[in-house]
Amino acid sequence: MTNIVHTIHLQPIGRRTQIRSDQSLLEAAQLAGVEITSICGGVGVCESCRVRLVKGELSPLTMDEQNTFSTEEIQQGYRLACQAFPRSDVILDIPPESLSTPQRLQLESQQKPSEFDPPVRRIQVAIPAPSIDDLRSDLTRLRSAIQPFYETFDVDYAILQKLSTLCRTAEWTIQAIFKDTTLIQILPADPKSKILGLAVDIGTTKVAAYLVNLETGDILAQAGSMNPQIAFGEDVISRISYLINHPEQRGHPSTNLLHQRIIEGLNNLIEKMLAEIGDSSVSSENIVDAVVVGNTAMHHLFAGLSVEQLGISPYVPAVSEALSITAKELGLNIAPSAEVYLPPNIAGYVGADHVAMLLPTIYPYYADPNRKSSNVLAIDIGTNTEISLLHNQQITSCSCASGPAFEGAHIQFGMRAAPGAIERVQITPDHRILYKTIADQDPVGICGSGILDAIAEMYFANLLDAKGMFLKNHPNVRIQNRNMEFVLVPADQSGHHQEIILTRRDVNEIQLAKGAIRAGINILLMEAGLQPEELDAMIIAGAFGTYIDIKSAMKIGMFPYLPLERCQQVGNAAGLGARQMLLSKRYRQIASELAQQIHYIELSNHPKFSDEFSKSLFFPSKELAN
Amino acid sequence: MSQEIFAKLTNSLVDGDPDATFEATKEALAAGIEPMVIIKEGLIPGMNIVGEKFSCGEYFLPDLIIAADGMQKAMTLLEPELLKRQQAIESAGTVLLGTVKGDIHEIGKSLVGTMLTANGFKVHDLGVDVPTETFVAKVKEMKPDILGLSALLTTTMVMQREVIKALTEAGIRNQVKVMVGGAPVTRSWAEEIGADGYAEDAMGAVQIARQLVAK
Repeated sequence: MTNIVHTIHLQPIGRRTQIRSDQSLLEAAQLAGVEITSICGGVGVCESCRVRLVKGELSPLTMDEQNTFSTEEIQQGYRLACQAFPRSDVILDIPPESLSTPQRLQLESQQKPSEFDPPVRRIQVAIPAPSIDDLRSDLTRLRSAIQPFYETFDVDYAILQKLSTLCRTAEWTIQAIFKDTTLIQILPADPKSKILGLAVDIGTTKVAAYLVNLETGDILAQAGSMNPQIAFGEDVISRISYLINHPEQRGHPSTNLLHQRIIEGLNNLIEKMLAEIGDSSVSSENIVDAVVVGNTAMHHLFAGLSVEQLGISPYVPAVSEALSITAKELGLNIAPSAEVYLPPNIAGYVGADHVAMLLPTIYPYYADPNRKSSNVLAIDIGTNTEISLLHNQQITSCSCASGPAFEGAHIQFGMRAAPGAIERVQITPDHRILYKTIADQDPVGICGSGILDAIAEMYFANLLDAKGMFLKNHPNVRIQNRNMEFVLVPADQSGHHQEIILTRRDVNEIQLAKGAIRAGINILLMEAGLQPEELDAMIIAGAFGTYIDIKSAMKIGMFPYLPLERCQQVGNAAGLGARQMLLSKRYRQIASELAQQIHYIELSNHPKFSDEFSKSLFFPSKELAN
Repeated sequence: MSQEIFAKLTNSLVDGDPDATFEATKEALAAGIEPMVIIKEGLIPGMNIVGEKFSCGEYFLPDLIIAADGMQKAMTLLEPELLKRQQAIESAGTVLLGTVKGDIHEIGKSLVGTMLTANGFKVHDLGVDVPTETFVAKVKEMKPDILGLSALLTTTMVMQREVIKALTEAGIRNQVKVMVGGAPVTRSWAEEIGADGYAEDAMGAVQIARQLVAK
C-alpha cells in the first residue's frame, strides 16, 4: 500500500504534487512549494497546519485531530496536514490563516558602509587576437594580457569552459573579474556594465537581500521574503527535528528540502532584484561576489551542512570558521565561479548574523580608542534573540529562545506586521483606547509592537498586575469562560467585524518572550559586574526592534530602564554588516577576529538562568519609570 | 480561629503573595498549630487551587512560580519545627524526576517537582540532561514508585522512549511506573512509547502520580 502514489491538488493556489500514501499532506504542500505554517514541525501539537478536504479520501482522524477540531469542523472536512495521509487522489482547500502571508519586512539601514576595499576587482583588457604568427592558446594569450595587473593568477574551471567562445564574440576585448588572485568571471567589455555583489541576511522567519554596486557601494536593489523553510517548522528546533525525522534527506544537500527551499527562495529574490534594476547590461552573470549571514542553523542549512547536532545539547556547530563556497556548488544563480562568503559562527545559537550585526553596532565602540571602555549592550531581537555586551574591551554574547510571539505567533489575534495590524496602542487616563494600524487600514489583528504597547499600557492603567493577571478596572476587561480578557477593538470597528481581544494567555506569551530576553541581559550584566544604569549605550537591532516603542519595552521589563538618549534602534544591522563585509576585505578580517575574541555564555545551563528567567516574567515596579 | 489562619494561608498562595504566606505561617506557629497541620490544612489546599487554576488555563507560569515561592518561604519556617519534633512529612510516594539527555530545560520539570512535594511526595530531582544510564542506575538504587521524564524539545522527546527501553532491557521496567511530560509530549506519544502516565501540566502530574501509586 505504501507504494501507491496519489495526486494532491492544492486549492486555491492551484498547485499539484504527487505523494505516496505514507507521506502526509504537509509533505505534499512542502513538495509543491506551498508555504503552510507548521509551527511544531509536523508532530501534531501546534494545530497551525489546518487544511480542508474538498474531495477524496484520507486516513482516519488521529487523536490529536479529534482534540483540535469541533464536530462542525470535522464535518466540514478540516484536518491537520501533518496528521492526514491520502487514500485516493485528493483536492485540498488551504485556508488563508494556514498560509504564510506577505508582510512588511525590514530593509532599512541604508547608510553606506564606511570601509571600501572590496575583495573583487575588475579590469578591462584587450587580448591580442591569434594569427598564423601567434599560435598561443587562448588562455596563454589572456594571461599575457593580464600580466601587467596580475603576475600570476588561478583560473576557475568554469571560466575555461567559456573562454574561447567569449573572446571571439567579444572581439578580444573583455572584462576580467578577480577575487583576490583567482579569475572568477569574464564578460564582454561594456562601458555601461556594472559588477554587483549580493548581501543576504537569512532569518529564521524572514530573509532580506541586497544587490550592491561593488565599485561604488550603492545599493541598487533590495528585496525581502518569508523564509520558505517556515513550511517545515516555525522555529529552528522544529526544522532540525524535521530533518531528524527524515533521515533520507540528511547527508547530502541535493536531498535536503530545507537547503533546496532556501536556495530557491534566494534565487527568486535575485531574479526579483534584477528585474527591479531593469538594466539589460546587468544579469545574474554580473553578480560576482556574495556574503550570506544567518544564525548557525540557517547558515548550516544554506551551506548544506548537518544540523541534527544543533538540536541536542550541547548544541555544537558543524563549522564555526568563515567559509567560501562557489556559487555553482550551492546552486545559487549568480556568476557560477563567484565565491559566497559566510562569516564565522560563534556557537550553536549565536551565528554569523550576530557577527555581522556587531560590525555596525559594537565594533565602532570597540575600535575607537576614545570609546572602547564604554559599556555597550547590543540586542538583536528575533525568534532567537542574540545579545552582546562590550565591557572592559571584552565582548560577551549569549542567545535567548524568545520565540515567535513578537512576530504575532501564539497570540490569539496576533499577526505579522502587515496592513491592518495594530502597531501602536495607548490607553488614556480617561480610559479611552487609542490605536494605530499599519497602512491605516481597519484593524484585523495585532503585531508585536502593538502587543508590547498594549501590555505596557494595560499595566500602567492598572488593568494588569505584576503577574500579568487582569484587574477589573476597565469596562473592556471581562471574564469569558473563567478567563479574563481585554477587548481592544469592538466588533463594529474592526476590519473583519470580529472583536480583537487580548487574553491572559497572550499576555503570558509576551511575558515568556520578554522574560527570556531580560534574563539574558541580566546574566551578561551580572557576569560583567555591571548595574544596568552603568550602560553607556543600548543598541536594539532587528525588524521588530525597529518598530517597538522602547519605553513600552522598559515598562514591561524587557529592557532595563535607561535614559532614552542612550538607546538606539538601528534596523537590520546584520544586513548592514553583511554589506560591509561584501565591500571590505578588512571587515571580513575583523569579523573573524571578533568571532574569536567573543566570550560566549550558554544560558540554558547557567546556574542563575532559571532564577533570572522566573524573576523576569513579572512586570517591574512602576516607580522605576520615573 | 485556626480555620481563619488556614484560609489566610490558602488565600495568600492563591493570590500570589509570598510575604503574606510567610506572615500567616508565623502566625499559625505562634497560635500553637502543629506544622504538619499547617501544611495539610493551609498550604496544600492553596497549592492545589493554584494547580487547578493553571490546569484550566486561568493561571499561568508566573502564578505558579510565585505560589511555589510562597510555599518555599513557609517551609523555611516549618522545616526547623518539623525537625524539632523529629517528624518527617508523610510521604505519598517517592518520585525520581529528571529532564532527558540532550535537553537542558529546567523550569517545567522543577514545577512538577514543587507540586509533587507540596502534595506530600518525596521527590528526588536528578536535574537536566540526565543520561539514560543514570535514570536506570538511580531506579535500581532508589527504587522509587514513579520515574518522571521531562522533554521540552521535539528533538529530545525520543529520549523518553530510550529510557523506557533501557529500563526494560535492565529487567526493571515493572518495578517502576513511568510518567512523561513536556511541551511537545502528547497522550498518544506517551501511549506509543509505553509510558504508564502522561499529564499536560504540573497539577495533572500530581493526579497521575496519585493514581499510579494507588495501582
